[in-house]
Amino acid sequence: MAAMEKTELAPFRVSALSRALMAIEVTLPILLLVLGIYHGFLQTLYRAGVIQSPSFAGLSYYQGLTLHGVINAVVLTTFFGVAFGNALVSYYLQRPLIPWVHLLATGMMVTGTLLAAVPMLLGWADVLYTFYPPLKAHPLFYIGAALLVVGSWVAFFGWLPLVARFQKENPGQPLPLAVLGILVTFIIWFLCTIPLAIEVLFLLIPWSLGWVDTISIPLARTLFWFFGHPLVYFWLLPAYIVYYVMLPKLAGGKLYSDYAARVAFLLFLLFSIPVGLHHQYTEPGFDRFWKGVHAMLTFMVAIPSFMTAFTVAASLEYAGRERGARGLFDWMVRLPWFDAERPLVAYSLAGLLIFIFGGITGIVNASYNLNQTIHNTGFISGHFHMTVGGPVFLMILGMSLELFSQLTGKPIRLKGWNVAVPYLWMLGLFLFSPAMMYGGLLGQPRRTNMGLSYLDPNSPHFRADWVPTAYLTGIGAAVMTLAFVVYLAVWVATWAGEPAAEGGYLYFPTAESLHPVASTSSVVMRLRPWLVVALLLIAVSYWAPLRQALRTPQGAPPYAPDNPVPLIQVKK
Amino acid sequence: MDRVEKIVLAFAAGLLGIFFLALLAAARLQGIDVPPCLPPEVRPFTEGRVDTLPNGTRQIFYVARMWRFEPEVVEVPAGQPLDIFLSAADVTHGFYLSWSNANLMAIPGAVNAYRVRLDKPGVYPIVCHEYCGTAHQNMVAYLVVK
Repeated sequence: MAAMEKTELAPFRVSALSRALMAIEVTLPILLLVLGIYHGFLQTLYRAGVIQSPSFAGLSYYQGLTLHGVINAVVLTTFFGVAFGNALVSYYLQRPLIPWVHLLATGMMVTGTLLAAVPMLLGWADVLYTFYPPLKAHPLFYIGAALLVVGSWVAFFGWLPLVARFQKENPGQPLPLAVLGILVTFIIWFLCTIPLAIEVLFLLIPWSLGWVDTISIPLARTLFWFFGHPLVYFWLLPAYIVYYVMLPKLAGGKLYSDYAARVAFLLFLLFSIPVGLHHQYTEPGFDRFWKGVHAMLTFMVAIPSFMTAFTVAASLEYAGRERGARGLFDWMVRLPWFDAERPLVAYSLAGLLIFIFGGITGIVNASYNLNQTIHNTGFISGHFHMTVGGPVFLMILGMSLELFSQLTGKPIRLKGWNVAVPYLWMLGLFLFSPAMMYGGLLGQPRRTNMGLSYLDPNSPHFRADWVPTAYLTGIGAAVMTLAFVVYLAVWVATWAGEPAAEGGYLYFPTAESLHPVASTSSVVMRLRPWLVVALLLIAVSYWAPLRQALRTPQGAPPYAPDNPVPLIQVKK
Repeated sequence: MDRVEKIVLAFAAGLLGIFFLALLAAARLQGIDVPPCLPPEVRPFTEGRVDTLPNGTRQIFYVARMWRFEPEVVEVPAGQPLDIFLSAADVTHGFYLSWSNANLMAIPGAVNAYRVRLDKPGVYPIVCHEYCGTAHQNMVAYLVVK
């Protein structure tokens, strides 16, 4: 007899401190998003040549691009990962968070975000979220980013004693799937932010403070992409947790296989990290062989996503049939797509539809030599708006509102509008992303204020063939922005409403497994062996590339983004 | 795992395997590959130039700097092999020769290289596709194929 997993738990009441801190963790990034989304929309206007200027309303294009990337891709996702993890660990282990750890973690993250916001808003850090040395930002930018990341580590470390105690007190009971998911998410995050921390602490901060004159660019880039791709799984896995654990139940069914879900999470642990070189295919200095190895490993990390597609679809089909569906496709129609009482279904289903295309285009990007046609073009931006800007973003919106409602005890208002948000966003995205990608295939560069040159009919560099796609991205982005405005209205209405119950009770709907749960002695119930293999894979795949990156002796002095003369004159 | 799951897993792995073999075939048989790793003795250069080898191959040494490529306009004959070498004089830049596979990063401290052959006469813009400062969008060069 396989071990039984307790699925339904009673609502868990968090402490007043944790309640306040978690409310901050979900609210602060949504407030910052106003700026992040605003400039996302504006960028499409610059790129279409509707705005032909280096700046608009006091914010320059590249400054706004930095804000868009840092807020949407780093601050929002990190805060959400921590907030969601705090909620999952509290609820599924039925244990309060350690108060001082929670306070310290949230305090560091908020402080870091505010510290980094100052130079970004003053225009002292127009280096985009990927840092791009030897362009140099104000040291506060790097220090703030480091604090944010280390704060999220503290939150993660605070969960570990709770997990250990749970396992000690419940021998023979598997770790709840949601807890396994969030642990895998944060192990990946912790491992991959180590190279980032090395880059920031030992290369960028001393160099930006002027303590050292030059840094090695190949090394800085390799460390960055060591972090930069696992980062996307840190974004994605919280959404997967909802798809596996909550969506089947919300849709009226069961999780097809708890075993397959665990295998998928553990495969992500193995293959998320040793893949960063696929961001560096077009760079000099690395052997083709190692680029090929990273290409192969990137293909491997697609497998748990294929598995997820199957398991989630099978769970949804089961739910549809439970709701009376017959035939091959009827189950899709029967799902509660627009159920205003279960908005997470709408946020999940829209995200899953988008991710079909996000995943496929990701395989294109990973494809070694195929990447030659699309590297750094709009194709890439089109792709990742269907991943981080699709399932990830929608899950963050849907779940943040849900958490906000549970923490405050205020029911979600404007419910009908709320379920329209994900579909409206999807509609906009299905204009934006294909246009961006088609433009990329025509050669449009990403991260470029095209209105000043390629999209300016008076410029010698004008590209008439780029006009239609550039306009279409603007139309798509306008629809996406509208969806976000509706979401904000829902949030404000909810916030302004009266509490219907006492706040601070966390509750997550949890699906049973249709197929039997694996026995606790199974390897999928243990983390350590997988972690060892993951570390081995990292060591094997990064040993040679790091050595090759270190081979470049010549360092680069810092530059300001607006001046071709370096900030420090280095004697040759 | 039940039978359906195993079939799906095998299908996914098989599909990716076929994709990967196709990529290797394109690299090996058609010569469509990522940039090579030049030996570390090849040092970065700071002046753009064009050389013609005795066998007719053109070698263009491009220097990317804020915010132009050197040489800015180059004429080459159609249908001849063209070796591109790329060096960054200040910050990181990008290099995308339109309608070709020559899509390269210019990294301070290293030299990038790629071989192309352009059969169709015309004017090929070279676009900097990596953010390199405030005038990044103006960084364009042209390759004229005759």
